[in-house]
Amino acid sequence: MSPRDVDPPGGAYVDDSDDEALHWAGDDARGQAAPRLRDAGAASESALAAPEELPEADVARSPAERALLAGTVAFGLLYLALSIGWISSAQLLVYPSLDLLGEIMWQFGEFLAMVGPALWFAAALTLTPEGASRRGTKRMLGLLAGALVLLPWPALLFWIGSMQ
Amino acid sequence: MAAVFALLYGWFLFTASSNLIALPALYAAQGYAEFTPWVPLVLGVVAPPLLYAAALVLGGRRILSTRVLVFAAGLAATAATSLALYVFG
Repeated sequence: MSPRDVDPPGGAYVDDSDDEALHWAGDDARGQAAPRLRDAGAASESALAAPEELPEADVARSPAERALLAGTVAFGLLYLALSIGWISSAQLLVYPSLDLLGEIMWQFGEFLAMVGPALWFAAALTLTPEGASRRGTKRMLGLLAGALVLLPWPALLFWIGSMQ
Repeated sequence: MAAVFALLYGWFLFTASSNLIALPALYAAQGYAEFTPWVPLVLGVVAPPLLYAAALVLGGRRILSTRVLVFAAGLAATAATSLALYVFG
């Protein structure tokens, strides 16, 4: 039976010979005598203790805030679908002319259309920060307007056409 | 910053205006004047200044990063609108 098999429960046993390996040159000069990993362990324990307060914040959330969160998540999923729709649209569209500047701007426009839902979603959230008056209504209206403006018509028309 | 975005929005306004001026004549020359897609053509011209004005107002007195984000979202919506109207036109 090796010495480690008889360690006391709870992992309290620490081989003193490890201490040497866990020291860095200059630790003593900076007043950091203890092995670093033990310090790190203590630091992470204290860091873990703080997030325990988060569930309490969840409990304190009002029904209106929960509805706003649910609405935002639902719109987030819709906006993800819109983005996919525009990526698909960009595959379907071809620049109808030959000039270079026009083609560069056309491709820039396709790129903008693809990232548009993400930009609109981020803008809607940024413009309705916590504490804004009628925050929920404004955010939902903003996200609804964006969803209507950003409908990926090229892909939608293609899919509708291919179904008939 | 607003001027740089004005240029970019302006490009989409320029192309939409070109279409509004040139396409009806083209349709008429082919004898299809009654099929001119007036609604997409006019919407294409109206959308860029409308979205720019909305971004200008909503960005308002906010910090620079927020204003850039709002202008960029408006520009992306302008681009998406122009591509959508292209397939209707």
